[in-house]
Amino acid sequence: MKPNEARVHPQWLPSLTAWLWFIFLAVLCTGEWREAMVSADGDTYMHWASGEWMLQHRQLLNHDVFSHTHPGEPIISKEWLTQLLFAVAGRWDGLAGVALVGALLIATTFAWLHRQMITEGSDLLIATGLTILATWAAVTHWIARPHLFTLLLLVPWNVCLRRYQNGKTSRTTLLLTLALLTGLWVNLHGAFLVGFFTLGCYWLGAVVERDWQKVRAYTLTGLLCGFTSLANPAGYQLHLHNLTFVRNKFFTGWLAEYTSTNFHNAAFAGFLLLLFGIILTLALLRPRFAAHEMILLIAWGYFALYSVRNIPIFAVLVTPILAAPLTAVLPARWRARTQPWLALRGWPAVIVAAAAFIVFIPRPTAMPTDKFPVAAVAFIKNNPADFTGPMFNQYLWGGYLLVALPEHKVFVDGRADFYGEALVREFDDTTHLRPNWYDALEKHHVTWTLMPTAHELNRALPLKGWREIHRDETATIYRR
Amino acid sequence: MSTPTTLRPSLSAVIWMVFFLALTFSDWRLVLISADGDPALHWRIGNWMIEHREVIRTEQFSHTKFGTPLISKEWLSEIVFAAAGIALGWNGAVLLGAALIATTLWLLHRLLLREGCDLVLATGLVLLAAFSMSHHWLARPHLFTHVLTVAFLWKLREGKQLWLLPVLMLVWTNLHGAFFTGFVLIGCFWLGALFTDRSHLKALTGIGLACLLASFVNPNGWNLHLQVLQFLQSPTLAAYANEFRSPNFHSAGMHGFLLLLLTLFLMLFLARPKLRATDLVLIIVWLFFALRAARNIPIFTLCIIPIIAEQLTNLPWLQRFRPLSTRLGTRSRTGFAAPVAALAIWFAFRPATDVLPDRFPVAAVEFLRNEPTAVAGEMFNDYGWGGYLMLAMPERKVFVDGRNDFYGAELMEEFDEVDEVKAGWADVLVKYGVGWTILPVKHPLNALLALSPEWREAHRDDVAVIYTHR
Repeated sequence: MKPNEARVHPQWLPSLTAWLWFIFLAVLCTGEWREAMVSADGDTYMHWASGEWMLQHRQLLNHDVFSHTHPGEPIISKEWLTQLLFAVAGRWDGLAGVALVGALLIATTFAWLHRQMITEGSDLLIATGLTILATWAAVTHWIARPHLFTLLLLVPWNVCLRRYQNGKTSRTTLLLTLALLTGLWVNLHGAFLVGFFTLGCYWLGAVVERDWQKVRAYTLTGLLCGFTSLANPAGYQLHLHNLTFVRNKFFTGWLAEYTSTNFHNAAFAGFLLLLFGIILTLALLRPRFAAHEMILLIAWGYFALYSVRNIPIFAVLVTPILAAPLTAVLPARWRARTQPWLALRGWPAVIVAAAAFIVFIPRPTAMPTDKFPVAAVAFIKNNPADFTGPMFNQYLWGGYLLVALPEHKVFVDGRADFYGEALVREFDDTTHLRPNWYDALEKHHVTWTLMPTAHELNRALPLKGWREIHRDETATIYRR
Repeated sequence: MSTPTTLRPSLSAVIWMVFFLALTFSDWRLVLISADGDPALHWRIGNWMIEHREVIRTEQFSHTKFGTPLISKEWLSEIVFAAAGIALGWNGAVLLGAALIATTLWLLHRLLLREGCDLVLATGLVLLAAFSMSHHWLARPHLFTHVLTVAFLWKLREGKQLWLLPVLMLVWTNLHGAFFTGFVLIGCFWLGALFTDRSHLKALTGIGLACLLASFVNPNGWNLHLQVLQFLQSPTLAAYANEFRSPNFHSAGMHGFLLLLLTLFLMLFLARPKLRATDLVLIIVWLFFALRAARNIPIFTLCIIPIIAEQLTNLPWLQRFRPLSTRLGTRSRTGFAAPVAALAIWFAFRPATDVLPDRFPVAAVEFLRNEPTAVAGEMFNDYGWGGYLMLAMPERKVFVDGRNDFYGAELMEEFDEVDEVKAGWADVLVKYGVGWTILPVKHPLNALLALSPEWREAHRDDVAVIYTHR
């Protein structure tokens, strides 16, 4: 029986998009994935802690309150709105609440991508296959952090640009939609520049095709969005800060998510498959792509190869481009079979089911004790008298310590852009036992260290007369 | 009176000459021998074989594996490199490396022209190939693989004189461990034939089998194949060597590869060619290998340049170069004057060549030569310096060198234990009777040894520090 022959009203039968949304949400809210989303690094906690501070003090966080190395120094908060949202979710349901926000963002992004392809005329099966492929490619960056808003907002951003490009929406709608999205984006995540770059690809495509009307529209949109992007607490300083950071070779080489893809890692199989899917589509179907589509593929392909954190953006932007030529070669009878499913609109049923699922999933989300110094933090809390001076901590644990040990100031945390190259280099020299490794500990009057048990610093400290006061399988604490 | 045709250089010969001279006279020559310790390693092993007039079969150079059976994958290259080194010092390795690189590009250029590619386009694409391959231009046996890859591609694309492939394979299997590349190439053409023209399947299967038989003609027989396969399947060992890692696109050395990928995509976008199944298989297979291991980028380059050339040469907007190509018209010119002249120039004016003193512990080795009693016991050395130390101090045995496939996962893990200062580092040093270390100045182990009462600093310069056990 086909869906449109069913007795149930289409509003109660979930569409495949709704199913995908529910499945992504369910997968992410359960067990390992939920834990992975919040424990990939300490940044989830860092954002949560920042938001919590803002909620408590009812003001924006514009100076450092978490570290002893940069106390009181001015901060450009790139993600204040997301941080507030994470803190609200954290107050509501602790770490599980933060994980839920991440899961909702991921599920909504890819369900929206699916919807986009179907709305643009893609076959249901092609759209579903490509959405799953995009999700798989993006899986390496499924972390409950503000960048998920960049992924989410990129979908409507690209939808709007594609609609205007195909003559399905007016210039005014383009201007207003993108300006509105920019206003949100600039306060949610620092990578709002992704939107400008994507717009630039469309602009360049219009120049190549000598479509001056579109060139004017995109120029105007860019200017309006540029103006709107100033509507953030730091104004144009935010833009300068971000540009300076992404151009810093030290940081892009030092931070794992800015490094190039390691194709030996099975987690990147989705990205590899997407790359080969593009080549096979080009070679076998020989589609005639528009200039802006070529530019998007090439530019974001380059950025994805350059930094793993760009792979999800690449996936979100290129899958709609592939959908059209793939749909075109599908036999008509195939399309006829899937056509009735497009009438289904059962979002209410899915939302009710999702709400029930969220309410009944087990809580709380715990930090994995093999990745974070949970036992060591308990030891510190039980022996406060032993920990009076400044600490030296592992970089990836910094964010976690902001939440778990708010009474202590960290040496460093995930805000490498805030700490700056000089301090991160000091940290790097110490942790790699370079000839000047002890200087940073002296300079910052460090009295105790909290490092992974296997870390080489733990071999050197006893030779300097430091005393081991705690050791478990994950973390070791040394005291001067 | 016009110059005889045989003396007039073809553009292919000019390419050979330009690359040969550029590589031998510029600072590239220093990079060829200093990028890692392996050029020295192969030279040293070749020296041993020349001295003893036999193929090496047991380990001679390390104290950790001394006397254990050894499969030398590149015995013939090592003898050739050593002979060049004995005759000309480091300039010998440079001469050989530059000649192999220039020959690869010359062959590629000839292949493109033979397949009907426009001369200007062919030259541009060979320059692009050079740019893409240049990050792996080191005076090591893998350069033989590059030459033989073009030769294999030539014959496979042409589909004629395939009987030459087993002969080439016989040479390849004795020159370099990556002779498996030849089998993968035959496999790609076999797969392509499966999808299109099955009449070639029989011939390709026969040639593949003949190549396999030919590849057994080496001092170690099928044990060589087993060792290479084991190495490729070992994630620990493959991950240890930089060149087996995925390309780092932050590095300027990858710009050529990126440009090649851009050209490939633009060709697919703009020319919208009807690719043969074999071409598509070659692109997919070798792109996969190139993305997994940077050392495969040159092979990928050599495989896809002829495909790009074939598709671009008939593009209407490239026809404007035809008059220039005709004017340069080289097809009738086959002269060897250019290579001969290049070699003559090099022999007459070759610059002094030695490894870069800021890459290797040159001053530390000098110190040890002057004060041999300053250290006692066995050595613990930096992995990248192993080959250099083998050559520079043949009287001493290294802990480890670039032959991680020979040392095996177990010893490499022990090496890691010390190199990354893990919990059992001191036990490993005791186990192997290490009495002194020679490591880069910034190595973390130096910080520990400096603080340890059992060790004292015997030498320090800008590159290396030597610690010795008290």
